[in-house]
Amino acid sequence: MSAVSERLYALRQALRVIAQQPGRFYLSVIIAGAALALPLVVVALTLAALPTWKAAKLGPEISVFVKIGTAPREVEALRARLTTVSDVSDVRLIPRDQAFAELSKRSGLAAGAADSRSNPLPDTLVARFAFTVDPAAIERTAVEVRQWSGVDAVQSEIGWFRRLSALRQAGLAVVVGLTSLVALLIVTALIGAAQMTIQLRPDETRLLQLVGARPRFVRRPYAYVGALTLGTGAGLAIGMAWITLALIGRREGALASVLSSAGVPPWFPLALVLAASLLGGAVGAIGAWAQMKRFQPW
Amino acid sequence: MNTAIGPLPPLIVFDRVTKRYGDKAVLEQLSFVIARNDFVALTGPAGTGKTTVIRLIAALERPTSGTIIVAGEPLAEIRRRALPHLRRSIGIVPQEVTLLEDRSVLENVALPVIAAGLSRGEARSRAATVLHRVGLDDVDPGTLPARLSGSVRQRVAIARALVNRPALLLVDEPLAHLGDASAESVIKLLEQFVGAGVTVMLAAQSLPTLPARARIIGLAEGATG
Repeated sequence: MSAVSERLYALRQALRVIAQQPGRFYLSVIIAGAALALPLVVVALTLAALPTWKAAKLGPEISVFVKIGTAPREVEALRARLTTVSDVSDVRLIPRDQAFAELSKRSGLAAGAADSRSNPLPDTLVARFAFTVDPAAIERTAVEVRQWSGVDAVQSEIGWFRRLSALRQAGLAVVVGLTSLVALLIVTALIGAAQMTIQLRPDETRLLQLVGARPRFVRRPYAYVGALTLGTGAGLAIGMAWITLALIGRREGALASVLSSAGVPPWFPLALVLAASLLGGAVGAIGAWAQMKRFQPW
Repeated sequence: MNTAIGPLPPLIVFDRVTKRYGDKAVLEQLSFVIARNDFVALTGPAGTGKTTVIRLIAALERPTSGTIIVAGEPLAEIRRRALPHLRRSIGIVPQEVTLLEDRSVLENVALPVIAAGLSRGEARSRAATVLHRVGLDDVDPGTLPARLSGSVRQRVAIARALVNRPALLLVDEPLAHLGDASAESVIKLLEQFVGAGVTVMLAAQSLPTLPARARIIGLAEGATG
């Protein structure tokens, strides 16, 4: 019973603090929401774009040239083996006759003018990799496949993909860096807000210490303010992600479907709000603790 | 097993207590003993350490040297974590009466009970009882402190100090801003609590008429008691 009344008192105090400085609370919620929305929107957009990328078959490829004279059954075995290589999403065969016909057509030779018996082109296996693969892994695979029996040469033209990966890594680093920076700012701002609120209400803190309130009783309202700030901020971030997906044409409920398609459980948004609330509570309590150390009762 | 019940130990013992702030000694080798249910008036000119004595008893400060024992426990041995518990057993009315201006009289008085971990209902019930005991029946418990006179604020502060039923009440300069009649009524009020089993220590620069049972401890500069 006492635990409940202590917490209810702390909650009333937290709401009183917020009501006395509503502008600061809303500003903190907006900053926290924006900071949390940044990674959430990026992740949601990435997940939303994944099916499109997969459908567009945009992954990097290597061409495996089979030795001329290799039997079709062995070519098929090579194809099957290539399919089992890690990160290879699909393998297609371009038969040497088909390649020769296309070459003849492009080079303007009349049909049948070129003798297929003099076809210098090999059968080619084109292996496509997943879009998320590391370019170095493709290079390693190319070297390995080159050693296989029946393989004449392997060509990996992945310069564009290497540049794209570097760009993606840089983008990720920027997002992580910015998020960390803003998170640090939020933590600092919340600690500062708790300290300032205690400074603005010195009588209450001194009085509580004087009447024998335990330190955690004094800190708890400021922890609740922190929890309410970051929890509301997380809710705002989820709202921003939802709106962003709606703006790019995803239908209502897109966030949930995008998350579930990526294997993210449906309770993720709630867990995010709870985790943000816990973090906010901890940060608020730390701010109050740091400030209370400077306080002498009466 | 032999269990002998002896006389209760004194409530407060000051044994050669010295308190310095930098080079300035406010108290020098001060010694006194206060028994339970005493009414003690601590008096002396400004700067002689009356407030310091009260702060030392409430463990708000540590002595530079000497021993202070409260309710049989040397304060030096009390852990920092146990200080809130000690302060709950002592009612303190500071010199500057601090009431939370955004809370009603009832909420102000109930605050120490909630801080002690009791329910809100219990806190409100105790607050109402103690407001009655300090003679504030005619004050609306929902009133904000800004609308109260100085003497009523003083009584609300005393009620707040008493609401956790302390064994010891420390009152610092309660009469400073009161007229003679109000000062006399506060003294009578404190005397009632002594009659009800509370030990009262009153610090005041000048004293009005005190009850016959009151002991006076006079402090001079660098007091030795």
